Amino acid sequence: MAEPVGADPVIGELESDLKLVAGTAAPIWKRQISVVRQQAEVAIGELVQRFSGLASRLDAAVSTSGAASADGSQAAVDQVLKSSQSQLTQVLSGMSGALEDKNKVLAQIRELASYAEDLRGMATSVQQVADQTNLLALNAAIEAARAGEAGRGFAVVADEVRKLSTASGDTGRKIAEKAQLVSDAIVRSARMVENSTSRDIESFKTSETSIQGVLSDFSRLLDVLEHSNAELRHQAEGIQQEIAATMPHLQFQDRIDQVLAHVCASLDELGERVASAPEGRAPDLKPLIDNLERSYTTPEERGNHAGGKGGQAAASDDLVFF
Amino acid sequence: MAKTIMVVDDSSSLRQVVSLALKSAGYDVFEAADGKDALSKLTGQKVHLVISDVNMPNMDGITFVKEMRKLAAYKFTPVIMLTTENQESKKAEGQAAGAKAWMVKPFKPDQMLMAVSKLCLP
Repeated sequence: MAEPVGADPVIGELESDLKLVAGTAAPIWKRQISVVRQQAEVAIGELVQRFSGLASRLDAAVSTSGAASADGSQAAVDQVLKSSQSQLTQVLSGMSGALEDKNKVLAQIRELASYAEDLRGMATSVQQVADQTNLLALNAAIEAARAGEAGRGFAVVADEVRKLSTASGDTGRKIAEKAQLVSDAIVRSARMVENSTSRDIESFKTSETSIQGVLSDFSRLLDVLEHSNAELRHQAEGIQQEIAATMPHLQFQDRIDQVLAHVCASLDELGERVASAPEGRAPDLKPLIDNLERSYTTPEERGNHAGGKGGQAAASDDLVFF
Repeated sequence: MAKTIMVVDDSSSLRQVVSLALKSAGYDVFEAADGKDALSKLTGQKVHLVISDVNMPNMDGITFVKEMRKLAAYKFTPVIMLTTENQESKKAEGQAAGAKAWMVKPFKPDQMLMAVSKLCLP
């Protein structure tokens, strides 16, 4: 129970100072603390939102990167390479088939050239037979003339035979000429096909080398992409772990707010107790301390109250299942 | 389908920190500022798990859990109390009210997710 203060001027001054502290200073302290609490809450809320946005964007980046590399493994790259190799090998195989067909055509042309040569030889034989027949007809004409009137009919036949052999010789020559022309044309065609085939073989070899080069470049590019993808995922996961490690520290505002709320409530109580104390009597402040102690919700507050060091709250391992 | 978790805390920054940890693990989250707010938001919702603070204005966490247990749909919904309180007497109050776990702030996200996955059964 509070004792009467009496008329002691010192006591009166103390009473006045106490009212000043409790009625004027304490509300100011409380308002200052409230502003700090509000500012801290807004700032930490903003910070958490930024971290949250960062984490979401990282999640999106990591999942996109993961999707791009299928199951995120070398297997996807190998699959793409194998598929490309198979398709390009089919192209080469098609080119190779076309070359084989061309070689067959070339063989046919060469065979044709040999027939043309045979034809020319036969034409020459015909020409020789015609020449000999012509000579024979000439001899026959001479023998017919020697026979006189009796050989006149025979002379006419010998002359006709000579004309026919001359015509046969001419035709043989023309056939030989034409056969030569055909043979030359066939040889030229064969040479053109040979040249074209050589170019095709060269082109085939160049294509094969180019395709192998493209596949090799493609493989290297995919390796580089896969590597940078993996590096990106690795970095993003590292940042996500950092953000997770920051989470306990972002909870400090909640603890500070609780501690400050209890101080504010105690300041309120101080003002009320001083204001409600009867005139000339000291306010009863003992319950103030008891109520303050009862309001604590953190181990640091209790430690501070007991005069020890409250310290900084570390992330707790205190988890109990009921 | 993602599980839905209700986070009840008077500190908006703490709610955000908890939500961030839960959302990053694929849970759906909605928040309430105190026990009274939480009870009003439970109606018409399918909540698989509740994470609640203890010391809150309007209605504290222990009272909220007791009131929640009176609702037929939430008789067995698991509750994790997440608080700065680490006194055994407080933990006993939480257990008596029907909480399934007691976790002291500041919490580690991986530990919280472990507790959530353990309690958040299909």
